[in-house]
Parts: sequence; C-alpha cells; structure tokens
Amino acid sequence: MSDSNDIELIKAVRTGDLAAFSQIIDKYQHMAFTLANGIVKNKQEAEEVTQDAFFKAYKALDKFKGKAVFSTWLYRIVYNTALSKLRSRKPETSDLENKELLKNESLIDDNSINQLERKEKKKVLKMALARLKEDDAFILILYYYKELSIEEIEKATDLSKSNIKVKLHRGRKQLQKELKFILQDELKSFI
Amino acid sequence: MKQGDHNNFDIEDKLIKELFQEFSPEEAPELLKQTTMNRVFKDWSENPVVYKPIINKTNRIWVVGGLVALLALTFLMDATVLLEYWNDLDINATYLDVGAINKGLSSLSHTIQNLPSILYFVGIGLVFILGIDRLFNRLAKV
Repeated sequence: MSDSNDIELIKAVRTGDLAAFSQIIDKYQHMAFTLANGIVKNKQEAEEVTQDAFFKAYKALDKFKGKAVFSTWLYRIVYNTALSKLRSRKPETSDLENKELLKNESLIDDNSINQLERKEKKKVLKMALARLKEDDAFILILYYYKELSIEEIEKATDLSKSNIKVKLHRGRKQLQKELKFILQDELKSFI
Repeated sequence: MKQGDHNNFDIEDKLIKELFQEFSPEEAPELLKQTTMNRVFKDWSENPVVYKPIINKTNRIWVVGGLVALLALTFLMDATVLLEYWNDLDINATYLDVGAINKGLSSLSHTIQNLPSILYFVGIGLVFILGIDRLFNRLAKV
C-alpha cells in the first residue's frame, strides 16, 4: 500500500494544491533522477527524463487509484520515459572501448572489492552501474537498494517475472565484471 | 543449476548486497524541481480546476420553483383533506392503514410543538455555520 502521507499529498494535488506536488517532487526527485540516469547514462538527458516523468505523473494523477504503491507507479513512468528517450536517440557508432573492456578477462578477485574503503565502494559502484546495459542498472537499483520484490519490479517495469530474473542475473554478472575492470584500472594508475 | 554455479550466485548476490549498502541516490540537479513546477504551474493555469455545481442554473430554477410550490401547498392546503380523499378511495385498511399513519404523524407534530424554541434557534444557527464553512472552503479552492 502507498505511504499515507503520499495519499494525502495526492488528494491535495487533485483539489488544485500545487504546493503538495512540489512536496512529492522533493521526496522522489533524487531516486527518479538516479533511475533515469541508470538507463540513459547521461545527466542532462536524465534531468529531462525526470522532469517529463514528474509532469506525466501530474497529468495522470487522477488515474492513480492507490492499488499499487505510489513510488512504484512513479518509477514505472520514469522507466517508460527513459526507454522512450533511448529509442528516440540516433543510432550511435559502436563503443569500441566498452566492448574491449567486456572482452578482457578479470585479473582481480572478489577480495579486492572487500578491501575497499566505504567511499571508494560507493564511487566504484556508481561507475560500474553507469557501464551497465539499458535497464539493467534500473532493475539492480530497485532490487538491491530499494529492496523491491520481483513482483514489485514487475509492476514498475511491466516486464515478465522471468525477464526480470534474467536481467537481474545478467546485471549481476555484468556488474561484477565492470567492478573488476574498474578496480584493475585504478590499480594500474596507482602503480 | 549446478552446485558450483549456485555457490557462485550466492557469492555474487552477497557481494552486490554489501556494495549496495554504501549506495545512495545521486543528487538531482537544483533546477529540476523548479523547472518541473514551472511546467506544472503553466499547465494548471491553462487548465484550471473549475468547480462544477451539481445543480446548474437551469435546474436551480426548477428546484427553487418546486420548493416554493411545495411550501405554498403546505401552507394553503388543509392536510386532513388528504385523509378524506384517501377514505373515499375505499382501499383495504388491512394492507395500508392511513389512519394509523395519520395518528403517528399527529403525535410527532404534537411533540415538535412542545419543543422549546431555543432548539429551533440552535438548529438554524448550526445550519448557518455549516453553510458559511462550506462557502469559505469553496472560496479557498477557487
């Protein structure tokens, strides 16, 4: 169920109280921006996507019946808007550097990740998430950070459960690979 | 899934869970909220929330007219005449005993007559306050 405070804010917006909608933005803007950036991998575009998503949410607020959690409903709008943004992009030339990175085999084991300082872990994780494909980062963030269940992610993305599981599995593998490459690079620069 | 694969999955899952404990969402750009609210406000001013009364102007005339007619009938007509008309119809009293209803209504009207006038004033006052409250609520939303 939705947060009772969210429901109160939504009711207020429906009666024309715009200040209540500004409170909704305050509450969800950082998460929405992070999720959008997880898909479009570009801060300027992520900002546009987040703005569009909030505006779409405002326009569609009457359709929100409160059956799903409000945040899940909002993340679904962010997800769809971000994917539309991706599709509207002109096809890019293949990123050779990234492909090369993926081909390389890992030289660093999992222990090196455990040895990192908290700040470094945070930085490295963000870098690795930024290298993931399409919506893999979006799904990993919802699953590991927001601790949503597969069913809730299904509502937020409209993907099938099996598809989400595949993406989670692929995302985990890819994230681990990227983490190792980032650490490898950092180690090289340190030497 | 093989046992080895399953163990690998557990290690990956645990490792990623630990990493995400240090994760925090990125700060949204400062202007994001302002720009979004500008768009929302523009839309709101172009499509303001308009109060639609349940009883529109045309219907209001009929409603007021009907109420006036009802009041006029109440004051001008002797209600006991209705009972005589009813008796003339010669309807079986075992199914619908209008006399009993009339008796009940008479006792109710007698009770109302005996109520202290202060109660009427309090009632009118309450309705008036509720009306004023509703009016201000509506004005606040305009």
